Amino acid sequence: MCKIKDRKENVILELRDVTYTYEGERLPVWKSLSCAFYEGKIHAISGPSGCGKSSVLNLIDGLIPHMYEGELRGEVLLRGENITDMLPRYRCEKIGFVMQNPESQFCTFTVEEELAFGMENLGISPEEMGDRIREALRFVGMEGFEERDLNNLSGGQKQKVAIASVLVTEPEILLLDEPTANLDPGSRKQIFDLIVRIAREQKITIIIVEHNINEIIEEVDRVLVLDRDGKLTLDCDRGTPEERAWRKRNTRNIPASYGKDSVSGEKVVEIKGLSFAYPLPGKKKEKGQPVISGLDLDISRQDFLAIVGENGVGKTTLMKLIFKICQPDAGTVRVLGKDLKGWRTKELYRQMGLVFQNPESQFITNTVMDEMMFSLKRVRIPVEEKEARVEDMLKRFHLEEEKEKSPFTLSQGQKRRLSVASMLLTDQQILFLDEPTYGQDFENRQELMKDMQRLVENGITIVMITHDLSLVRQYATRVVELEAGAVKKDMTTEEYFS
Amino acid sequence: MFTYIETDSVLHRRNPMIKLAVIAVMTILVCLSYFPVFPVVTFLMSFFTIWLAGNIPLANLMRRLLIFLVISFFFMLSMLILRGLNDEAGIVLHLGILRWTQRDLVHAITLGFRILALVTMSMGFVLTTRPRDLVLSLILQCRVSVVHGYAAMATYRFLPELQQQVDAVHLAQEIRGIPWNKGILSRFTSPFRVALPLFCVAARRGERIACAMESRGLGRENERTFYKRVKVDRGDWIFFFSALIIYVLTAIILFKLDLFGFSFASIQ
Repeated sequence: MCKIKDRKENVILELRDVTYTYEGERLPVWKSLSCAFYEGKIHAISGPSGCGKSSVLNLIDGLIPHMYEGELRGEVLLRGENITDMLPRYRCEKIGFVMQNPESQFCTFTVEEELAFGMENLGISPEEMGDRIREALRFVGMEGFEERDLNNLSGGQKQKVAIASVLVTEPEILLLDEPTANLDPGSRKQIFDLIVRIAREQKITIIIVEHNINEIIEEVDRVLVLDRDGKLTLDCDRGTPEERAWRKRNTRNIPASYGKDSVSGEKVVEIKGLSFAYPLPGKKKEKGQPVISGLDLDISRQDFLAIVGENGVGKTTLMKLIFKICQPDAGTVRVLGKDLKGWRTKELYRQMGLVFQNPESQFITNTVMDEMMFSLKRVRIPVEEKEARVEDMLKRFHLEEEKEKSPFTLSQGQKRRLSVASMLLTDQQILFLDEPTYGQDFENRQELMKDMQRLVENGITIVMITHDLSLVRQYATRVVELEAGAVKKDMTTEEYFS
Repeated sequence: MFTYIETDSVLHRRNPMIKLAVIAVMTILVCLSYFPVFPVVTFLMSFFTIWLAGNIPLANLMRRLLIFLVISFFFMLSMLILRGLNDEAGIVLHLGILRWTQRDLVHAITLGFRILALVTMSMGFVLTTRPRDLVLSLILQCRVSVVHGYAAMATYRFLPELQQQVDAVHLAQEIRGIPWNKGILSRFTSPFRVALPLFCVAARRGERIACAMESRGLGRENERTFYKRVKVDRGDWIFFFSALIIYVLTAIILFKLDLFGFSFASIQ
């Protein structure tokens, strides 16, 4: 591990012996954590679920302990000055924070207003604000977007605006919490390029928590890795033997085609010439631009299929059509050999399950046990058998300890597992996952995907709609890329990434 | 339905507080009138002002008002049916078992158009007022604290997302086999089923936005500047006084013509 003392002259920020325990928690997030961040460098923080990566950013920004209450010991030093007691609102001149989901940090309605918000709070003159807004938008490649409504921007553009809105306050340190989560591959590359330019051209110190670390690792100057207990296990420059060894351990390969031996080739979903357009607002009979246009797709039993594509290409609409939520304008969909029109929705949903982006949307009861039992409400089997089936499923998804808890009080990972478990109780043969990585940290994602792998091995077909290409590369066996409502590419994962 | 429409017009350029003041005066006067002529005139004046001075396309405005026209019509109809069951003297109209006095008819039509007039004015305000201008006006003209002003704006930002969340819950529960708004029982229980997931989303969202605002310096004890200010200019005062003069004159003329009453007592 590199010694902090050796490079003391370049240190811009230092955490010294920091221990923090969230209110209501017994164990601290990290115990006696000490590390330093260097001026103008890009620092990447990595580590497993719950190790406190995002909490480090919250601590540096001051949200810990001033917004997220708890017990804090130790010191945060900015250029040698102790800022531990300083409120976040007084740190923002020096430290800018870009949160994971730009939507959750927008305070206004238009691009210009959003960029001005932070500067207004700092008391900058309107003339200077105008200059800085133009300069920041030019820097992020969004000139002329001043008057645009934030709601009408793409995911990548929103993230650029979020970054620009912090850049205009000219911070010395920029904190980024998984800035590319929920972005499509094209936007992700643009954001990574932007981050590198910020560090190299504007000499701003970057501290980034990022799960797609392999995509940016070549540009990172320092890597910090926390273990499960929040202990710093690696803190060194990129390219050192320790870092190379860590990277090697964490590089994952394209999946072996598990379950493929038993693939029967039986088609579980057959889509031919599917077309669909949403009605124009306020005009039920008039249709707008087609979202799905002449789409052909076959899904075979035990496929672990990933449907990818830019925002708005029709991924979610396709799923709505398969689930009979929308009616196609043309084409046919056959599920398990039977035309979709011939399926009663109740019967169809017993064959196909859908796990939502936000698992809370599907919870309706007060306990985990009731939530599971609800899925079997209309199944005509004895209560004892239902209970046995639920117990078995809870065990399978490591939720047996939580069965009396409210689904809404579970952790994000547990909520996701519960939503999957409740969808599989009636022996569904096909499971759709809509952005399974949404709101999930790295370890929860891995755990969930391993569960999905096991399901495929047991004969279930998994279809996941995602932007997370690292997840696709790691787990899917087949990739379908959509473009303008039709299939652009349909190939094995190996071919897709080669 | 109640969303701002971006365009340039006389109403769009007016200060939000001035528009609110005009609406407040009109609301008080229209609520004092117990004859239908004044609410009808108020509705028509508001409608034409929004259409012409607000530069809102007629079809768009009509579409937005349609639901309220229907509600007002049904309100009037139900009032007429209930009042038609009485057995008072001075019946001027009857239909089967329903009998109405002049007072019944005046009462129903007045209240129906009063609702319509109030909704039209409110809609006109929302359609022609940028949310940011409203917040700035509250902060700069009404001296509301910056923190409270921006908290209101954050809440307003969340409203369209709320509908998306409701749709997501709807879809999720339908796939779990719970019919949505099908049958009387489902219609009754669906708001309860959606409440908890929505509450969770709103609480989490509130916490995040509070953190985001704090970390971007909201609430600092220094002189806050404004990139764009909302002022009350000469055009606002001209609009305010001309609107009031026209409206009060209309009320006086109707009063002189015995078409503006302060109570139903004068109606036989």
